[in-house]
Amino acid sequence: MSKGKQIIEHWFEARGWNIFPFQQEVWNAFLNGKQGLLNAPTGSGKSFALFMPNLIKWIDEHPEQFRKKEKNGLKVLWITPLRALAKDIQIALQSSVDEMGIPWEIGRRTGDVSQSVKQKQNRKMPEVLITTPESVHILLAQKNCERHFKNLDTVIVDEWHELLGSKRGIQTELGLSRLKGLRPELQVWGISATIGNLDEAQDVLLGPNQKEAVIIKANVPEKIEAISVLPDEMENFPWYGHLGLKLLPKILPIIDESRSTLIFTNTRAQSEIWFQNLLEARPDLAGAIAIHHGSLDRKVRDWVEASLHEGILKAVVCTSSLDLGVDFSPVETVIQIGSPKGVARFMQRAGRSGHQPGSTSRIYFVPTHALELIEAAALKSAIHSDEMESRDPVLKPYDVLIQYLVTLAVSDGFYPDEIFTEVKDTFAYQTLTEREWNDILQFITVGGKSLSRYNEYSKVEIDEDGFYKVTSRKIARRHRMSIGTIASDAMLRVKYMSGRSLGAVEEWFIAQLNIGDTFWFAGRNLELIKMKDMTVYVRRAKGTSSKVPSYMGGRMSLSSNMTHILRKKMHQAVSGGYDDVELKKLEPLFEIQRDWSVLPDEDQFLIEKSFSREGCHVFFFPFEGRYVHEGMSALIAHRLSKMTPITFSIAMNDYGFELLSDQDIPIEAALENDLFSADNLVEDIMASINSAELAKRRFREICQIAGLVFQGFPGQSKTNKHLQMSSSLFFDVFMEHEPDHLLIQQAFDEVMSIQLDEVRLRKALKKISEQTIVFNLTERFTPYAFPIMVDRLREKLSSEKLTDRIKKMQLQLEKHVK
Amino acid sequence: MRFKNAQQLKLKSQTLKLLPQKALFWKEQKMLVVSDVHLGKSGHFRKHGIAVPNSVNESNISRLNELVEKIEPEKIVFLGDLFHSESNNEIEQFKEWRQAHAATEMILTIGNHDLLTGIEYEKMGLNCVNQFHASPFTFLHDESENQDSNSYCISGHIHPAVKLKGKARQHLYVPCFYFGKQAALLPAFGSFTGSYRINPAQNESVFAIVEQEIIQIPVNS
Repeated sequence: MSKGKQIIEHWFEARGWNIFPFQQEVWNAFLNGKQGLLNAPTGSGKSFALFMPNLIKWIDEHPEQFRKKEKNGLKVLWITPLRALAKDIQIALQSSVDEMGIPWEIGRRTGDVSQSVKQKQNRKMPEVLITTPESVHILLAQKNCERHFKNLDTVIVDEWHELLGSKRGIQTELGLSRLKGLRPELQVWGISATIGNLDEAQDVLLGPNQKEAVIIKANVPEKIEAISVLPDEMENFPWYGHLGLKLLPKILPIIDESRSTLIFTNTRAQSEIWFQNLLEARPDLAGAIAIHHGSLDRKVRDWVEASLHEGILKAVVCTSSLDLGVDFSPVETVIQIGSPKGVARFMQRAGRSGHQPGSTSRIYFVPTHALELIEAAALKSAIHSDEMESRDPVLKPYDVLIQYLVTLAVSDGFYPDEIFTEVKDTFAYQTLTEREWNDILQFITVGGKSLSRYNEYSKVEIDEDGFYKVTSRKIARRHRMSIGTIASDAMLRVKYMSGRSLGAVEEWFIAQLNIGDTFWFAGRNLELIKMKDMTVYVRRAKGTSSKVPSYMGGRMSLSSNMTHILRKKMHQAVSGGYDDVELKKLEPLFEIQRDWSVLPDEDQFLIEKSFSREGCHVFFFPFEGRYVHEGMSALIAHRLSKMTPITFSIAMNDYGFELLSDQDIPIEAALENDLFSADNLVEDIMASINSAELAKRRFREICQIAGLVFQGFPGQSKTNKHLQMSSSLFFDVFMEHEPDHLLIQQAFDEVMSIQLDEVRLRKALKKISEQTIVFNLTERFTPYAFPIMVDRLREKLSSEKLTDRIKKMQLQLEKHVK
Repeated sequence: MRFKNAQQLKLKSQTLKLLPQKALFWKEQKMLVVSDVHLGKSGHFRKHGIAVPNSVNESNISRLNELVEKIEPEKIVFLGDLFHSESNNEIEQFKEWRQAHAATEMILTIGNHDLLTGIEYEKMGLNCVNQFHASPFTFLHDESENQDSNSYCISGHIHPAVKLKGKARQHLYVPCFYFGKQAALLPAFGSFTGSYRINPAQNESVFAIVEQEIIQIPVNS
């Protein structure tokens, strides 16, 4: 056994720890020069699995000097998606090297690390640097950045599954491609929780042309107990809704019996409302419960996290903001309000509890409306199987590549041929063509066709040798400020008059309020006093009837994995198998559905048509999740609108969608033809008005990432309201003058691939073609149809002439409320 | 065919033609009235870090040019906000266009976005005033600053629009002309502008501009 291994094993022994077989396996693979992916859950010893072989290698390379050699340069780069995790890892790794007497410094470089620490690092890098994908790119944007990486041996990407399906994952891929360019012998390892596509996750991390690589599974069994909170009387339980407050009395005893409870909601608005209602129901809990979501001030969130850690909070109402992060060992119970939309998220949240040795993670599911009980049954069977969602990698986004190339040009510049080879070696850009590459180079140098006349979009210059470089200090400064792939809305800070900050809310929400109005935020009832320089000043208000800010992003779709299990459960119900207590509860509702229409089985596709004062409603029930329904409804509406001039208002949920029109919808005639054909799918969707609207929404983020709009410097106080519409303006202008623009193409591609999930949509259409269509005229809105019918957020599609529509319409006057 | 799809309106014994190009023509005076052109808005956006191709302005100027060549007015009144902000390229383009129509009298009632000095406007051949009176009407940018309550006031500034609703949860915003008892509002001519929803009362008239047509919207409250 090598000296390094002896020392490490001795250290484990001294701590009274066993070395897990998977840790040994990783060490051996690593020391044999392999790269790979470790599949292990949080809290399993995964960090030491990957850190220790670096130390073993170090000791074995310097058997006499390993306790003396200092200033060794950056050897290990540790990338994590969450800066809250960075601190914990730093502490753990630092204490391990300290105890072994190895003079390594473990540093951290994230958005919240002070400028002075960063400058110190610039002069002397620590041996291990824990950082985020964004901070890696900011490092790469420094002048003479290569010097930081000349001793780099290893890159470890922690929680890779969190990065994989997003543009931050692309950022990681690009950063790795450059680091490998600088250090060809670099060893790259990832750590991922269990997902459906681990093999692909490895390919994305290591690139398609990787050397021999391994996947090592920790196989730590997770003990999860899922319990549904059921209404006593189904008669009074609503058919629709999303808040779930009806069951609040039932969760109070759960909170009481548990040391500490996390209550997960799906949106920030929902968390505010739950917090408010919990306090009203149990005033004695004031001070012992808290709220945590992404819009709250960093300090507020830090305080909540620290208090959870210390066990002084009885319950915290939160959103996905606490999905990830450090372990809170006092948390014994998790409550999920409303559908978690996916098995993986449900299990992840369940895993936030039960960190005491040997204990079981316990999660309660609280349905917000009747049909969610089917999901409850589905989730319960899913956690006992291995059906996990995949995280599909993003492919070839031009915006991230544009940002990356400007980053390199801002640093020391680049030769396109060299970088093209590196970029082509990544998973995301393996199919990038020379033509696309040249278009991108043209975009960063002259701004493309539409913008070529303006100097400010000629960011990068080319010298005589064909070397690409940014020379303008202003452009460089702006670019460094805007590195990142998370687009944000214009947010206004919320502060007390004393200056204490509570967080931030979207500008459009505040725009609806007047001075003196009250609203709930950060778990407090606040009165708006004044607005100045992008800051809202507030004071505590009395009373409880207030508005709650609602935020975008509350409309996630069921994963395809979930819809699959859901349909299986529905089949069970049809065949009378009410083994699950949840399905048993739903029996009366299923009976009504069967009575008024049909309770569709797996091989049936139900369409219901009914008339009301509003007009003609047609409901379709594919049970494929919101995103697929979004695409399918646009497709079907478009095909119907080709038959006759007609205007639709479209609503959808995870189970189905509705087309509503003021005139009779000729669905019977349409069903005679091939209404659900997958032929001309892309053309038909693109022809529907929605695709342009959807593309415009995606374009916002693309604009920001590609650097077309600049968010302003931090602390810049000017209200930029007149500039807010800018990305949609760009979109209109490009659509008119340069519709083949790269970024416009990307926006439409993203609509098809990400938003409408073309692959899933095609599969869904194929399934329908194999099903029997059951068409029913119903007198009343059925239990399946009702929740969709009441949804007020609607898409539109019309093939009528605007003038004809307007002639049928009436003036609507604003109601004056004083 | 000079006034294709226009809507004619008798007001104070005068003939006004509402044009789908979002402008008004006063027949007796051969006067074209145009509000809120917002030339140079794209330049303004660019200066703040937002790219907008120049062609937006070109289309505003060329739309204006097309309209003027078609109806050949003797006089043009711009109801303010002709230029979006300080001096920029688009002003040069406008100057060129102005010279090409030297024979036409042009008046600008100053708006909140018109930040050049009076002398600069005079130099480009615009007669620059706060309000312009031509009995029975007073023209100005912002109605709320009207000093003369005796004459009928025609103004711009707010970019009026109305909300329409139909069966099956349909609703739409459309830009409009508005004619009240004492005052009228014109839609913004510029293609690059937002709008403000107005709430007309009984006995007032609203004309929506829809796809090159003017449609009167009945007001019953």
